[in-house]
Amino acid sequence: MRLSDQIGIDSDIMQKLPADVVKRQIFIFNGISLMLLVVGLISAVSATVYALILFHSWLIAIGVGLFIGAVVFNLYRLFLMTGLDLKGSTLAHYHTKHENHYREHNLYALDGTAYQHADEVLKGWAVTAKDKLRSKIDVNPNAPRNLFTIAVRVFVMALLAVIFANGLETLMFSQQINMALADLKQVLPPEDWTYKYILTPDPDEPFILVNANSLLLTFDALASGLGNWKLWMDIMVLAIYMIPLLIIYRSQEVRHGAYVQELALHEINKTTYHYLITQKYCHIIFTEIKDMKLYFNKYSNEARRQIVTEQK
Amino acid sequence: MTREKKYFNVSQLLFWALIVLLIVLSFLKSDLGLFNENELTRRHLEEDSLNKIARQEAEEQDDNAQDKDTGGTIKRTWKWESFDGKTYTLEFTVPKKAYKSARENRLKQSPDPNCWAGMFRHDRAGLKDMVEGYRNIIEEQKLDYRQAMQMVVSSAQNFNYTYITWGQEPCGSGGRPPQDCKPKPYPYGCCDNVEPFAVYSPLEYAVNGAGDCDTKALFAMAILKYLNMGFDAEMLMGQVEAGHHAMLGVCVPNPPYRDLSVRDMRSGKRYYAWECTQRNNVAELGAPVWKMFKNWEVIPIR
Repeated sequence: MRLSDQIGIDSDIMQKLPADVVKRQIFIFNGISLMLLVVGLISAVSATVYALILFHSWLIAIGVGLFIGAVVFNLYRLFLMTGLDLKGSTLAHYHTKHENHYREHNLYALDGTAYQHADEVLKGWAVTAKDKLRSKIDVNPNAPRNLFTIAVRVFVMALLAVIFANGLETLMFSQQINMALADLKQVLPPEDWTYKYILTPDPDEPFILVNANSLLLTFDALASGLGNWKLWMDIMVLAIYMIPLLIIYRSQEVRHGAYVQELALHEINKTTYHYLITQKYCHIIFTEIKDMKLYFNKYSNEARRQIVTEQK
Repeated sequence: MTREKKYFNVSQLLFWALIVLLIVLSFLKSDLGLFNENELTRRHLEEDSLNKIARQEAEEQDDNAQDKDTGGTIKRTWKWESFDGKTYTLEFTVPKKAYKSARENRLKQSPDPNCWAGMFRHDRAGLKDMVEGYRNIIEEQKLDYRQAMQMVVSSAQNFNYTYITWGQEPCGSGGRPPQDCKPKPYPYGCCDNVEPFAVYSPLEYAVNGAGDCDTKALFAMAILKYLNMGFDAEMLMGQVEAGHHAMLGVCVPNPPYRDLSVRDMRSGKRYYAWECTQRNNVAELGAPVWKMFKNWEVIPIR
């Protein structure tokens, strides 16, 4: 199983392309899949850290981490796959309105005669029409995109990136955070609220990873300890989360790449074939119905075969 | 390579470079000094008006204190009386970086007696100046090995006992005094949340002076080992009537007091137990501290 299968890439549809093009496309989507898995993993680890601080239990934390990691992976997969569209490609003209395809490739001429041919022959016509369409593909690399949907995706992923960056940094600097918290505890009087409820563990629930009951105090320690470095580390994690989106929207190899075009052609081909098959079987079924001897009862619309009735 | 191909390749390279950078940072974070542990407390004190008063008082006390921390080093002066009645003074400095590193190293250790060896090995460089100070005293005063041993252990015993806790028995519970991590006369100080095994490293003890049985014994053992005076010193661990306990073990010939001793089954050597939490307790004087002494074993520190 290829890595690219994990994000829903069907490499079989690229059979008619040159081997080097297919190899490059698979390499790209394998790379993107691996990036998404890493992003999912980072999210899972970060969510585990959050859950550890909140619940003080490895079992719950790992469960929460796996769940959140899977959610982020699938959300990102959804963002990526729905981001592959045909804007800027001549195929969009045929993909959004198949009648254009039928008209240009004389498929309407088959109306009423499709039943005379075997399914395989109809399939062959559909494939021929697809191959003709492939030769017409032209791409405008500067075609405008829908900025609103891009902005929504970028905003959602950026928000997640910043949230998970905090968890990751907490894990990286947990020892230093604990030192800062220990220092703080030393200067606080024992009757202080923070001392009693935030920095002192419950007897039944000892601290795990971070010696505090509070996410906010943990982040406060992280932010004050790292200073400006926190901003740089957030930007690093943000970049990690943004790069796969950036590739989808900006790389011509993906946006107008062979896989996207072949996927569109594959969908057009499927629809064309089903259009022809439908023509054929409509005719066959219509003829069968016409040949059928039917009896219609006043109180029932039940069709009875083999019952000869008086013809009107 | 075409421009189209370059875009994906460069983006992918950037992605993995950032991942590698994050991994490298997570390993080198201590060495790079990215994190300032004092900032949280400083901010908390500055923003909390009640704590401002406490901080001012502490600063005034610091100004009056004999020990001053300057530049990149921490300077300390120890003055104590040994069993022979002589008063010794030891001035030493510890690099601040070494102190910070000792704390970080302690937090990396496992929560069991194996952590003692990890701290002993780590703190050797940071305590170099202090060990030299001990060596100078030994040479200047022309102490024999037994007097030198007593001088070192009495220095470790000199600070008042301080409870060191971690986990389910925090300061303020189970008869322990409230959190106040400074050595002081009865009712003693108490340091909370000392990970991972409720023990400070020798270097931390040298700087702060706060320690209980294992911290003091570990410090004395570390200095004796660093001085390398020709006899063995190890950590002993077992039970006394007060519960689990740790003591210093010294392997010396014919000590006058030899009731409390533990044989190391690996080497066959016998180590005489020395209580480090009580001032003026010297094995040779034979003052028995504990009536119950069972399940004791030698924890080899290498």
